[in-house]
Amino acid sequence: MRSLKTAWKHIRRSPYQAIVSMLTLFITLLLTGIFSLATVSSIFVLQYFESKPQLTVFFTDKAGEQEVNVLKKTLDQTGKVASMKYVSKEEALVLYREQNKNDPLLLEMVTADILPASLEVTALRPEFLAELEPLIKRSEGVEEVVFQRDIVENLLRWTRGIRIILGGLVGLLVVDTILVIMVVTSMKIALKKEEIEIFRLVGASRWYIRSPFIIEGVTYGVMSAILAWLVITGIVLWYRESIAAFFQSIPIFQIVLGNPMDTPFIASSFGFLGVLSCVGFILGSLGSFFAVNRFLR
Amino acid sequence: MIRFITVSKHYLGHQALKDISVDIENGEFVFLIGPSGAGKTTILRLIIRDILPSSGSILLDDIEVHRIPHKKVHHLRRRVGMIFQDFKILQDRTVFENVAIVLEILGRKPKDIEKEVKDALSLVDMVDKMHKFPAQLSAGELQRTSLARAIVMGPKVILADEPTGNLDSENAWKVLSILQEVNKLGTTIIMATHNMDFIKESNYRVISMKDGSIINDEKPKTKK
Repeated sequence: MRSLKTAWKHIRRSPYQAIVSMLTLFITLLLTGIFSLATVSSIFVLQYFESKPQLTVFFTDKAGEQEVNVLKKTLDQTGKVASMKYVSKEEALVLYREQNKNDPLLLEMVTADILPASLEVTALRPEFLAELEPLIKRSEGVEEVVFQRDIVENLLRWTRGIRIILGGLVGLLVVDTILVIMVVTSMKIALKKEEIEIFRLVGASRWYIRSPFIIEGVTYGVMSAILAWLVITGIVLWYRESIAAFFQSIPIFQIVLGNPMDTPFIASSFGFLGVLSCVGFILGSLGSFFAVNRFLR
Repeated sequence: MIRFITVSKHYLGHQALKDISVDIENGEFVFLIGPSGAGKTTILRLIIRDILPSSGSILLDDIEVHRIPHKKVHHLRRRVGMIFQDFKILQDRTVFENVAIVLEILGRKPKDIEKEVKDALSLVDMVDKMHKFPAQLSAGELQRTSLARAIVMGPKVILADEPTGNLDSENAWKVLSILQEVNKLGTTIIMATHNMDFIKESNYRVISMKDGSIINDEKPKTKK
């Protein structure tokens, strides 16, 4: 209680220093929040594409069960395949009919003989696709290999790029924030040098001296986190429909962004607030901890 | 008991203390005298472990003061009260609050704090000034506030570093008289001073220092 009162007194008596600390923390947490959301979204998008058959092998009409089994065995032995699904000519026709059920003209001319049998292959990791491709092409009875390598590779490239740039930026901001809080706390310590000296001489423990400063840093961190969360939640709510429409084929976005009054949105939103508050707590406490420790050494 | 065993202290080439060995018994009143730079303040700072000796050992009862980890020094300082020539009083707090700090640090309840602070202020005759701020007090009153802060936690030892240096004669004698009262209650008092009148007029042990060495250790004369 005493630490809380003292921390509040520190904040009240130096409002400009408090604003500088909070603004810096706010910008860091805002960008960290946006970066985290972008990263999580990219993971979901990647997972979605990775869950789809990444590679489809079309067989020649002459290819029989033996060729299919040989290819299956070869792929299985690589240890890089997550799953394989054989689609016969008849099953391909069923799928074709389902996909084009609203267009009778397209259905009239097509029979099972026209459609090739295929093998849908999902790799354990998207990077394995390039290694599997030549292996498949060399196999007997294979007519064509169609795969989503370009989509996945582009996605990987973009997400890696985004992670590196934003990660670097957030890293810089984290260091900058800790330094700003250290400088602000050090200024306050310098103003209270005599008081701290007296506290030490009359038997105050290090924690007794340190706690108001750390609580002050934590207050900046948590308040900035709440502000950043409010701004990010506002942005997400404002663009909710556009984001949901952009990712319409990915179910998780529809579930979370479907209705802001539903549990998934509320739960993920408050979960996000919890994560941001933890980051704010850590940054605020670290900055002030380092500053006080330097003085108490 | 406070025991210095061949203690030396160097400050950047300057030797502040040279192989000091001295014992101070519990309940003793000791004057430390000597010119500026003799090593009086160094001795006091070593006892509260504000500084560490360059060599030798310092014992407070069975505690090896110089071996106390940095993180636990506050336990020692809660047993040793200290008063200074420049008072070291917080300007933005009242007399009551300045004294109460010590008990707040110890985690005492507000009700107990009020009683104990009033008792300490009563001993130094400052109860009527307890709601005043330091700027409203005289030097003598500031030193008595500082004294109340030192005695409020009931320390085993009080270290006084030229506590009367900034006071007029009347206030200086008043401070000494309070320290004598506290000593009668069993507290060890070690007082560094330049005031030779104190030494002439009282019968206490006097340790004389010069250039970091003890040049004379005069025990109190036994009463006839």
